[in-house]
Amino acid sequence: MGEVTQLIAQARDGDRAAFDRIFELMYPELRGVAHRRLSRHARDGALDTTALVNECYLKFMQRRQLAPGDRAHFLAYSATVMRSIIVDAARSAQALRHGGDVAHVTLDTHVGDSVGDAAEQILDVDEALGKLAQIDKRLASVVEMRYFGGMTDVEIAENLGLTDRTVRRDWEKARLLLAHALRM
Amino acid sequence: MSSPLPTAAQWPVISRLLDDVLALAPADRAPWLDRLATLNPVHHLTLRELLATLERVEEDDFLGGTPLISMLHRSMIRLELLHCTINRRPP
Repeated sequence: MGEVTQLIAQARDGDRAAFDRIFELMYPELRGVAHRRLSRHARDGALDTTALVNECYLKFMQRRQLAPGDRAHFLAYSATVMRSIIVDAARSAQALRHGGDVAHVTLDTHVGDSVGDAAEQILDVDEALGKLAQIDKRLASVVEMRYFGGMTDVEIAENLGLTDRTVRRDWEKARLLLAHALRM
Repeated sequence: MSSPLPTAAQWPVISRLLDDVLALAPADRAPWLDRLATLNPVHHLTLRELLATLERVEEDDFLGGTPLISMLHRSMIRLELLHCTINRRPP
């Protein structure tokens, strides 16, 4: 049995250390794929979260660390890891923006502003999502999988054991509560 | 941030009310809300606020795309390059 498959089974039985180990294995892998896709040669290309996660999934499959039947669970863990990667990137962007001379260069103010806007929204959503999880953990999971993980409603439904109609309704309610929390 | 969210204790009732109202056609939601004011005044205000937010959510397609990671990343690279340029500039 592949290492990730075994860890997924343990994590599903409530083993927190197994969950942490999955995170440790996946974070550098997903981050590495993202960086390569956004490397100097591909800098102008769009980064599609779904494609990124699928590339990572294939890598684990090729290394025989993961069984084909674990795809749905793998995607769900990927969403958690992607959220962490994206939030870390947003925090770095804000630190970079506020930390140097760059912010004071008039010519490039629009660059700083665009980074600031994107980073601020991501961090606000992340914070509001934490509050949402305290009210309804399932709604928060749906947002994490769809918004941060790029999963489809069908994939989310499979993972959570719901119908895709219920997932769509959960998504509708979740983004309504998040928008309310963010005073949209 | 932020208007207070419903509490975990309030949420099951509000969630069921949202299920009811979201199943209605948009034109039927205002009369439903009027009836709620009489039937369930405790949750009427919350539902009224949430339905007002719903209009803005749909108009703006809130969270309609995945996070702007590529834009964020590209902009970070540009900021880093600019930072290097400034730091190398002679005094």
